[in-house]
Amino acid sequence: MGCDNDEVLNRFLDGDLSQSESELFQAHLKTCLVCQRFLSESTRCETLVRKIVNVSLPLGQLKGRVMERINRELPHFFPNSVEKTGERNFLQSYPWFLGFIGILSVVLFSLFILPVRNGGKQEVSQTFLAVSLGNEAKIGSQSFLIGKSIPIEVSTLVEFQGPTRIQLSKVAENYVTWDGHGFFSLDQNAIHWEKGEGEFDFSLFSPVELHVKTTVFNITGTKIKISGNIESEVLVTLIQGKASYRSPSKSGWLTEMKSMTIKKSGQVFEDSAPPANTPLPHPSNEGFDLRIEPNPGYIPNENSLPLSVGGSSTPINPGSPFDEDAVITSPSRL
Amino acid sequence: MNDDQHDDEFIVKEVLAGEIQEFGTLVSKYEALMYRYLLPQLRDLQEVEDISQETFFRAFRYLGSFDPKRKFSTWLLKIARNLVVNRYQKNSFRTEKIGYVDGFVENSSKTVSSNDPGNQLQTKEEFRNIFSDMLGLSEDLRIPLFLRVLQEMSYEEIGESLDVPVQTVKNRIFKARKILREKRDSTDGLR
Repeated sequence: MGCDNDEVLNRFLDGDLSQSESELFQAHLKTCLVCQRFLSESTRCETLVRKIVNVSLPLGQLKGRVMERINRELPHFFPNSVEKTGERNFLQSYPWFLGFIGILSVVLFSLFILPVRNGGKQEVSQTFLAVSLGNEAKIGSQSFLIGKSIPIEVSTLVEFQGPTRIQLSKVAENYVTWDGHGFFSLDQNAIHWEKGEGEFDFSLFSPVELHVKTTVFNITGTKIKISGNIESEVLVTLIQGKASYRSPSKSGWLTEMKSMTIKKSGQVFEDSAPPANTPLPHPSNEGFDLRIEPNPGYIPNENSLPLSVGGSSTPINPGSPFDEDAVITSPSRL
Repeated sequence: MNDDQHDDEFIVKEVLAGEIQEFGTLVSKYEALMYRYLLPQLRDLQEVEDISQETFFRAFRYLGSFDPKRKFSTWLLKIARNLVVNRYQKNSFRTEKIGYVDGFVENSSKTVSSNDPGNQLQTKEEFRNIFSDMLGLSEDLRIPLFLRVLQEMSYEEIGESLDVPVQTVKNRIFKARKILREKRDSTDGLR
């Protein structure tokens, strides 16, 4: 090119030179046609690209779309719990650690997974901390007044790969009435169920995010009086087909299952905030995907509950199906 | 911590305290950054919009884990980057597949003050060549160059966002410009 000032020129272009360096370079620029040409060409090209790209980007629409999605998909979510993000974690940054994890996995597999394989039972648990004060409770941006109900939802991802039937049944409740409303949501549609217990035919729907909604009804009197433990437990039993769980963080660890318990429980502090150092509880396990394999000989049961398709849409989030801890916070006193 | 970072921390605290709609302020503030960051990594504008939306949605969902000592924008870009890597690692970036270039070329007339069709055509052609050359750079050169040219981020900000040393950012942008200049020179030489 006839000039070896490329790097300085580059820094000059980005305003990265000190004042003295800049003055020196400008003196050079007056006499160097190569640098003059490069500078004017680069500036012109970059300005052109910046202008055209900026008028072409569909700016100004994202806020509405993101907030609409948050309100639609996470109406009761309160982002106050520590969860993993999509950021690279320790293992991704230090792959050598995987070797150690591999050894540990074998030990854990022997200790925990093999017994489970035999029993075929799994549990998905979520816990939450709640504080009720005054005449209003708040979950996320949604307020609940006396006389209204507070829904507490729990969800898990389920993948059905063939004609399969499962049964949902209520196992336990405490301060909670499980009205059984909920939905199995697909990518754009939701299959609603209206009854608390029953059999469901999943031959055509896969994968499915299973939501179980329980409802607290005892909001009476002049205060929201919820105290002690809230517990909701739903049993999902496989009655036809073959099913297996796979922990997302331990790929390949398939375990045969017969049933799955979805449990949500939490402690409620009435009229007073919990001690300052009370930690937010975390889910007791990482959760599992449930994969149900085809059962070639299966004939749909005519007695299965009919399912309606439609209603609210809830796209699946396969990455973190267990992170919707409901947290009831104390509202500010009016 | 600068004022900007302080503002973000304040908004994050408000959202965590229950003022969820305030999250929209952060979306508006970093919308352009997100698009300009994703543009050189994805093949069409719809993907850019989808990943941007998913990034902010995840940021909201995991806001409790955000460390206020870090820059919110850096955290956002890392979420976005991992979404891109996780979703598209099997589909390597190919410049010939990029669908939005034609639309951008058509928009180029908005930036030309002259009504002369010949002038507009020349601008379109020039933009197409320059932009295609930029997209044709390897990813390690392309992303810092786009952040510098489109977002006008400083070397330090780019280094922080991409998790690479400042000197590396300087070297990569320098190398990218050098390659682009050589391409322009060789194109000019053919004329």
